[in-house]
Amino acid sequence: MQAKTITRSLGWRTVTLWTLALFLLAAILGGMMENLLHPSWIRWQWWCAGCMLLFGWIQIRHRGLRQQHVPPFVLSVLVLPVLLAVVAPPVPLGADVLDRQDYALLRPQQRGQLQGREMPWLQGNHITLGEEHYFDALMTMHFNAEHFDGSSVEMTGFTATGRGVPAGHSLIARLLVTCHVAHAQPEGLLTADDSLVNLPDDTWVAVSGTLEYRQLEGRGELVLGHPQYTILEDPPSPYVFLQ
Amino acid sequence: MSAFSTVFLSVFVGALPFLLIAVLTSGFIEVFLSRETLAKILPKHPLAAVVAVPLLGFVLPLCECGVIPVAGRLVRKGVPLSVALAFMLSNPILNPFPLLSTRTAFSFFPAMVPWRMAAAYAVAVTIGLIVMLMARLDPGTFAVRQYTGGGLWGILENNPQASAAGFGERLLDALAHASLEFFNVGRFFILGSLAAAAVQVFVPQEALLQLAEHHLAAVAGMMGFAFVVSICSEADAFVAAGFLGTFPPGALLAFLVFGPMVDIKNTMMMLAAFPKAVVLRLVILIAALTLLAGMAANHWM
Repeated sequence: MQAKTITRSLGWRTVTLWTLALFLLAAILGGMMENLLHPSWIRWQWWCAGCMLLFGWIQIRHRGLRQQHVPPFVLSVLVLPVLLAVVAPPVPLGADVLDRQDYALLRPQQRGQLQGREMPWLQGNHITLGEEHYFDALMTMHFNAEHFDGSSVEMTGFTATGRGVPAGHSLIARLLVTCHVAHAQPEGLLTADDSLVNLPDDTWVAVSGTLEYRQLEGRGELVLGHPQYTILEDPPSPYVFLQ
Repeated sequence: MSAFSTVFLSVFVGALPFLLIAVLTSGFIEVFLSRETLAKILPKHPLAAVVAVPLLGFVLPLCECGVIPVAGRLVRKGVPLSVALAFMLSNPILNPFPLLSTRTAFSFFPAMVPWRMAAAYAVAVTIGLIVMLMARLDPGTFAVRQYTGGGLWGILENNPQASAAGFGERLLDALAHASLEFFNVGRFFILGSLAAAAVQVFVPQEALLQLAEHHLAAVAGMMGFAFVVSICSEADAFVAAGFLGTFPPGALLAFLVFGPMVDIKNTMMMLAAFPKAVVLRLVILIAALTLLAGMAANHWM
């Protein structure tokens, strides 16, 4: 009887569309999570999908709030994410982030103290910019640029020459993700090497070289000098997730 | 279009668990917490409640979207607006997750952590006290009337209590309330997320940031930046850390305090929970107090 009431007030088409939308949301978003979220958050999405299906079931069965229904306008707004996900599925972000974010504004200009700081990514004079300590290592290097002059470094990243990257330079970058990729920010090392600068944006390279402390546009910067690189045909995810 | 879709969907799915926790909390408060019980739990004196309620974030951490339906529900259950607002404004910052992320992001500038916590507490409590005072001097300024119209609020307000029912029935009622609240707040959340994603993808950052060259303008500029980019309180510290040295510390503090309290996304959600006049006065008060906190930090931090 209750099901008859709600279908009469909303129409069979709306109820069917809504139910389908909820199932689609669970299925589609579930498959797209790796392009959207920090891995440790993904399991929560299944919990969410379950909750939404439960809510949908409650509304259709009309338990608790009898003789009322959710207006069709509300339902149509809720279907928007599903429609958008179908029409334009999420893709991994890349150098296009620098079309919107200005790298010059994302590099701290302050100086910090190295004393007492653990640096597991530093072995002697060699820096390995791996995923595990990516943010910590780069922040330490930005805050103590002169200290790392002459250190050797190896990293993997994509090339980017967008906003805030000085002319004649390219950024070898990864995107730092704290929770979800909407707030992904480019972090990496600049290089002035011609062959790297001339590569198209979003070219993935495994690169090693020596850090050189230079003045660039009035600020002290570490620049990757004498780089040796190989282009990666099968690039990893652009995201580095904060541990 | 793909970038817009990616940004929007990641904001949407990223905040969904917090929103669901919030509406479930709200549903359970509605059905299982009577006005009498709530009155017993909260400190008797509103002043004590306003001062103490910001610390609840360490027990019940919610995000800036999730906290709004819970605060709205508390008001409808008879909790004074001053107490509910102090809770709503402080909770997204005064909870363990932003605390840890700020500590990690500002490891080279650790003073930012206590400043952020203290400024959030001060702004939330001051607004609570102002609202409490206004309720006595001019009750119309922050009036939240009982809703008598139709629509979803009408359903939420007019649904008869099932206090006499058994546990199973009440559990279903709590879930029903949660689901209805989800559909009510969810539409504003989706529209707000769409607007925030559009700003992130289509408006270059420099448009706002170039305004911020002097100390006062820097603080105001970073508040405007926080409003339009709508970054959640767990992630904003990492964005702010990049601005160290480029902007004065007070501007970064204003970004970290104002953003979780007022941004495009949660302003739309506030409009779903409170009258427009209350939201407008609230936003003005938060902006003024954050500006003061930012200028103080520029001077002393």
